[in-house]
Formats: sequence, structure tokens, C-alpha cells
Amino acid sequence: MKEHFESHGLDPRDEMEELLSQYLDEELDDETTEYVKQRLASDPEWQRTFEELQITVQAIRGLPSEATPERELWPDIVEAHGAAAPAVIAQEAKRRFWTTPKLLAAGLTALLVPAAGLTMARAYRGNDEPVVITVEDTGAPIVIDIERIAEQARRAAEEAVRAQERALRGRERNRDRNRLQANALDAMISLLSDQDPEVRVQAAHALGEYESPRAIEALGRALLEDPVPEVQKMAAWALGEIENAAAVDFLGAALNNEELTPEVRAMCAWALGEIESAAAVDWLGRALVSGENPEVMKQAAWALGEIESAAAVQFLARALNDRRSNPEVRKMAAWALGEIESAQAVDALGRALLNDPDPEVQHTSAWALGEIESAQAVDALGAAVTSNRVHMETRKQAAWALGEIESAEAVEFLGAVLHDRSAGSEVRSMAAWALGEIESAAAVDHLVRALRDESPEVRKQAAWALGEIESTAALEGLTAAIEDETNSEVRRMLIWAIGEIGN
Amino acid sequence: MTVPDSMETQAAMSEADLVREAQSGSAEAFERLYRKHGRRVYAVCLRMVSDPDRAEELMQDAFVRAWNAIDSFQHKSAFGTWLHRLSINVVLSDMRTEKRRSSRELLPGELDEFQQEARGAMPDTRVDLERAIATLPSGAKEVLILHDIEGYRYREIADLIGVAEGTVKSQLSRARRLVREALER
Repeated sequence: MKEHFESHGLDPRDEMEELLSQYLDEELDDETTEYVKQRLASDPEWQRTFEELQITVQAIRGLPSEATPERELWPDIVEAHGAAAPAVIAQEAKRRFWTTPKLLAAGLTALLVPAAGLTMARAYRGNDEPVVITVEDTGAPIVIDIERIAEQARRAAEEAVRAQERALRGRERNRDRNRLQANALDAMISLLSDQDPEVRVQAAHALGEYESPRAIEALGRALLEDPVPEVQKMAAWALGEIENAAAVDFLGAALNNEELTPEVRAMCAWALGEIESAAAVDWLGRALVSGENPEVMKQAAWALGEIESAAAVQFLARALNDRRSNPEVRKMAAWALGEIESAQAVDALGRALLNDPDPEVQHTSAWALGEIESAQAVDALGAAVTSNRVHMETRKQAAWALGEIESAEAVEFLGAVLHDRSAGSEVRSMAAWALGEIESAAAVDHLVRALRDESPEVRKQAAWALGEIESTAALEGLTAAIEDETNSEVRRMLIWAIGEIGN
Repeated sequence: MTVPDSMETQAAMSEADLVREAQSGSAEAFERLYRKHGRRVYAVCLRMVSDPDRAEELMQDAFVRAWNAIDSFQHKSAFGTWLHRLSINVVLSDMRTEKRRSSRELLPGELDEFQQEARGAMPDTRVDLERAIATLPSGAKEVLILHDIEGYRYREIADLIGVAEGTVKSQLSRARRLVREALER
């Protein structure tokens, strides 16, 4: 095994580092994974290197995935999009003119290209006579209307000038608008201290609409210090709209302040989910695991799913496996773990899939495991897909997840489901689809048997899967199935599969 | 495949409506899509080129192209996925041209400037890490950003940058080692 990995002409050290990197990403096959595990267990130096690698990658993954440009770019985008118009007109002019297929003569191109320039167009203006040339092989005359080309070019150039003028006006307007907005912003910020709570609510709302980071501090203070919950809630909303990480600590502190109303705290969690900064993970995690109010906890779980940081897995896993928490919170925690897609969540999701009393939590856990795509989830998903005690929709979702994971270890589970009538045709059909995704030859016998399933949908999906696997071992079964098959769609799929195998 | 009825699907539904409106010519709808996705597109441009001015140009270019091509979006994937892929193509193709022009590395002064501006653009970022990534050789940097930050898989990255999957694996390993070493210094 060792020789195998050290035979590519690379430095063995580089090669081992590369294996560690792939091992961390769970991109190695089973045999190589085993080899790497053994090396790590027997060599403390490699173990240390691997730990350092893990820490580095975790830090890189925790970097923010969003950044704010210094300038407001939208006006420039509008301007550049508008400036594309003359090009379209010119294109249109060309298209209309080049309709005769025989216009391959280079001479024509030579005429058309200079004609696109305004100067040239003017030079031709005096010539009222159209130019006539003859294409050699047909002798058919082709009329080149120079005046028309010149007209098209003039239109394109004029449109370009107008676009330029529009852009200049736009820039001017933009400057004015920025000035006015800055003044309005200052006025709104000072109104956050108005005596009338209604005015403060309105001012916070307006600041959210402006989405300017300049308002963050004033809104943060309103959130933490204003005595009126409506003002606090609107300030939290506005901070979410501004979507800037500088608001995280204000929102995090309010989220975990039990003296604030659950509505305000839930809004803080929502805002943190909008901002999507990894710096909010601890605040949200704390609210999730030590909270009391289901709405706040659910919203915190949602926000952690939006942030997609692996650092949130520990909190979400605890919430998911805590039976005392509200089922809606557990369901949202499972969803968030599916969004984060970290293999560290597999155990917690597997437990929820098999043991949670709520079918929706089980179902969402199966979905999340399919999103994570880790082979470590195969046993739990296999147990769910083959169990008669598990809700039918969840079994179907588990079959889908196994198809996403694409591990050959799932073949036996899916094969068993394929022949289990109590599983229902939708589950069997999904199992056949999953086997097609896994593309393991070990599934051929199961799928050939499924070509005799009572449900046409299952038979069709089995035929598709055999076409994907492309094993000649399936040819006999597929050919025999065509003879007895009465459903035209299934027949077509059988023929397609035979063709794929021949390929 | 069925995804649980969640906030994600609700959000995706309203986004699909926005895209349809933009496809029927609504500039306002496209602006809302820009507001929603702009910061993510800017982040990937900024990291890839380590130059805030150029990153702004590339972001603008990506959105203009997306707007011009929005009719070709078929709603078969999420709009964000389509846009992000388009943006990455814009960046990669610009980097190829830039590389042809001159294979320049960042000068220390430029690096300091980038570091300062990155802190403004991403207040909660780890500046030492950004600096280590910014100084990576361009092939290794592309792969690291696409895999570890943007979440693409080996195969997808190979398709995106037009190299073999094996090259992606070795570039990623190299990039991670270089970052680790830079942080140790």
C-alpha cells in the first residue's frame, strides 16, 4: 500500500500531505482512508501535522463569505448595462444585412466594416447608387445598399452618444442623491432620541431602509437602551437590513438579554442570520442551548444555518438531540446542520433520524445527511430506509440521501428496500434511483429483479439505474424484460439502458 | 429532490419570482438581486485578485454580464449558484488575461493596502489569514478559495479552471501547507 502511494514520482512527504488533505475532505476511497488512519495512529509527527492542517482549514472556512465594496456600484452597473444597447443595435443591423448565405466574399466584409464608422458613412452619403456585385458561383447579383449601412451605423453611433449623456447625467444625479441621503441619515439618527416612541420606531425603520453602516452604532444603542420594545424590535430589524458585521455584538448582547421580550430577541436572531457573520456563532449558540423560548431558539437555529459555520455544529447538535426542546426547534436545527454540511454533525443527525419522536425532525435529518454526503451516515440511513417503523416520507428521503452519498456500502440496504413491498412504490422507486447514482455493479442483481416490480415507476427507475451502471451483466435481464413489458415508457427506458451498456 | 419545507424554500420561491420579474425587464427586480448577492460576489472577487479596485471592476462586470444574460437563466438551479459561477468565470478569465500580460506578484506596499481595505470590507475577518492567502501563487490561491471558502468540490473546480482533478488535489494541499507555514512564521 505504501509503495502504491509513493510511486507517482512525488516526494513521499508531499504525497502524504496530499493524502491528509484529501482525508480531511473525505475524498479518499475506503482503502486509502484506512491506510491514512493507520499512518496517523502509528506516527505522532503525522498526527500533529494533521491536527495543524485541521486547524488551518477550519480557520479558512470560518472566513467571512461576504464583503462590502467601498463604493456604491449599482449606478455604474446600470450605466454599463445601458451602454450595451448600441452594440445590440449594431448587431441587429448586421444580422439583417447578412441574410444571403452566399455573402462569404471577403470583399463584402471589407465594405461593411469601414461603413460602420461615422466618418465613412458621411463620405458615402453623396452616392445614391447602390453598389452591385456578382457572386461567382451563381451569377446572382447582390445589392449592397451603402446608404442603408451608413444609416445603421449613424443610428448606432447616435445611440452611443445618448448612452454616454445618460451616464453623465446619472453620475451627476447620483452625487446629488448621495448628498441628500447623508443629510437625511443624520436627521433620522438624531430622531432615534426623540421623546415620542412612535417617532423613534419610524426613524429606526427609515434607517433600515437606507442600509447605511453609519447608523449601526445609534441603532445598536437604541436596541440595548431604549425602554420601548417596539423601538428595540425595529432597531434589530434595521440592523439586519444593514447586514454589516459591526452590528454583531449589539445584536448578540440583546439576543441573550433575558429582560428583553422574546419578540425582540427573535428579531435579533433573524438579523444575525441576515448578517451571516461567523462572529455571531457563539452568541447564537448560547441563545440556542440555554434559551427557554421556542421562537427565539428556532430563529437562532435558522440564523446558524444561514451563517454556515462549522463552529455552530456543537450547539445545533445539542439542540437537535435535546428531547425537551420544541420539535420546531429540533427541526430547524436539523435543517441548519444540513446547510452547514459538516461531517461532524453526522452522529447527532443519525440519532435524530432513528430516535426522534417527531416524523418531521426525522425527515429533515435524513435530508441533512444527504446534503452532508458523508459515508459515515450510511448505517443510520440504511437502518431508516429498511425500517417498517419509520414514516414512509422519511424512508424515501433516506433513500435519496443514500443516492447523494454515493457509497457502495449502501447497496445492500437499498437492495433490500427494492424487494420490500411494504416500503411502498415511491420508496422503492427512490431506492432504484439511488442505486443508479451509486453506480456499483453489486446492485445489478437487485435492479434486474426490480424490472419485474408491480409498479411501472419502479421498473422504469430500475431500468434507468442499470443504464447508469453500464454493466454487461444486466443485458440478459434487460433484454428479457423488454419482451414482457407492456408499458411504453418503461420499454423506452429499457432500450435506452441497453444502448448505454453497449456504449 | 424534495427539500423540507423551510425558510430556505420560502426564500428561494420569492427569489425565483424576482428573477422572473428581472427577466421581463424590471430593473428594480435586478437591483434587488444585486443587493442580495452583491456582497458575496464582491468577496470572491476581492480574495481572488487581492486588489479592491480591480475587485470592484470585476464585480461590476459580473453583474452587467448577468443582467445581459439573464434571459438564458433556466431556473434549473438557484439563481445565486448561477450568478456565482458566472462571476467566478469572469474573475478566472480576467486572471488568465492578467497573467498573460505579466506574471506579477503582489508588492509589499500593495499587500498592506489590501490588508487595510480587507479589514474595512470584512470587519470580522482574520487579517493574518487573508494576508497568507493573498500571497499564495495564483493557481494554489484559486483552488484554495474555490474549495475551502466557496465550497466547490474537486471535480467542479477542475471543470471551472480547466485542469485535471489530480492537479486540483495537489494545488489544494500545497496551498494549505503554504498558509499553515505562513501563519507559523
